[in-house]
Amino acid sequence: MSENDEYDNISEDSLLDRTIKRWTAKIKEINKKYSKPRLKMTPLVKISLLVLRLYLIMLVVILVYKFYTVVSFR
Amino acid sequence: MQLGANFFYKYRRFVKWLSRYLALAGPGIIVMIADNDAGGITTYAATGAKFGFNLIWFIVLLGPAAFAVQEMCVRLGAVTKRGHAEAIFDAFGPFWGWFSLMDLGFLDFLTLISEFVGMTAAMSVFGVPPVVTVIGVSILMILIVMHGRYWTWEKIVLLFCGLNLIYIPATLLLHPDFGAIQRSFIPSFPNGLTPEIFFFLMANIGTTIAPWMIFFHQSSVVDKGLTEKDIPFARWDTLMGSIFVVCVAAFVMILTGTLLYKPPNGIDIGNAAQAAHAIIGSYPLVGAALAIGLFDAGLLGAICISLASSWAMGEVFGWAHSINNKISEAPMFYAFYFLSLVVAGTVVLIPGAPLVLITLFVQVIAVTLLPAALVFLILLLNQEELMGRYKNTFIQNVIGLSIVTMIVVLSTLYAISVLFPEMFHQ
Repeated sequence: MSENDEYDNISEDSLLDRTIKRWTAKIKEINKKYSKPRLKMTPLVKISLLVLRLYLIMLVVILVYKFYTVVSFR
Repeated sequence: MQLGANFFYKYRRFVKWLSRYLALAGPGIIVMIADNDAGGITTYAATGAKFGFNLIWFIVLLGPAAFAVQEMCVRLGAVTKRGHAEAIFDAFGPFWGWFSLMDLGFLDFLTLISEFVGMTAAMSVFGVPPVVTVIGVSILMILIVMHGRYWTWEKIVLLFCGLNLIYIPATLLLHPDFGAIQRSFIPSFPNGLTPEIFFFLMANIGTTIAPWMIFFHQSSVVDKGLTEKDIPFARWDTLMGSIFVVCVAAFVMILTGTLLYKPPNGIDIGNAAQAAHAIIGSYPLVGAALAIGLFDAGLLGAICISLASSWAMGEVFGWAHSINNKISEAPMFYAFYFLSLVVAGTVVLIPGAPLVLITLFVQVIAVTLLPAALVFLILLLNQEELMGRYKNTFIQNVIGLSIVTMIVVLSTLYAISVLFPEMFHQ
């Protein structure tokens, strides 16, 4: 590997590194900014969010089942 | 004399109201007409070809449902001055925020691909190669936002909305049976509620109320700068939009119902472009109008969907995210907009890309986001400290919850029927 190639790799890595670090920092900042939900967590809100979670889990199960049937059919 | 003065006073008041309405109108009409996107037009055309005029009453019922949902978006946007993505982060925290944002981004990208599929299919009726359509549309969509003025963008998009009404004169050219149309407003299932009819009902619901509409409408209300005092005008705007959406859908059904429907079982068509191909030989003007309308529908859908994602990303990541910003002032917002366009357009041009699978998959992914977005909408609209006197009333909650429940149940069944088609086909 020539000196120039090594230099290119380092600069590419550092650019990628910098980009990942910048995005990670931004995501952490967003998570921190919204860490405390503003909505009052009344029983009704809690139940609604729980039902929503269960609904999404059900959809994932259906999708996994479909994937399984497609794969086993092949 | 007194009568004349009263009339003049009322006339002046009306003119004042109308000029204010025209200045504030836009987001509601755009979101509703864009809802009749390429997928929507295909669904209505297929419904007309399969069942004739028999399901027009159902489309008429969907208008008020779409209005009720979008009216809530108007209030939430005008009162909080925040887009739906940011409102979810703020109210429900990062878990639901990231879920909604990622799901919206993915779903919008897939829907954008399906819009490009619709546009290329429509232009193929006139012999335009897909690559020319994709490049032309991408350039057009970039030019539309480059002015750095929301007002200019809105007026250009409203022109395209006007073109979406092309189905009305095209259908009238056919002199359809108005007696039969009148009878079709009475709810009925001529052959009973068969699994096949049920599948089409669900497909029509799936295309009439889509998750991106909630995000787009709320963000556009914020970007336009509408406030609490503008809510009555924005309501009228949304109402006009819901009337247009029903009219266009009904006229597409009447068009294909008149030309393609063969009783008792109708015919199956794959997409609206296929219907245009079938019609253009015997009715060149009508076939061309169907293809132009399909292209316009895809274009409107693409404009709104790509903006819905870009606004949502801008809100959450804190980028400048207004169409009033020039490209140099909001580089990330426009970069995301351009990138999603270019990538979606490129996917359509890849030989052998699974475009049919993507089009079907859109419906499945939509039901992972739609219930969440609707539930969040209702919960947010019930927060007194957030909405003040604009929070949902008891009646609005009853109507809203009934509509949301119906949409969630039927759209979920639709997604299941897409995954397991044998369930709903005889």
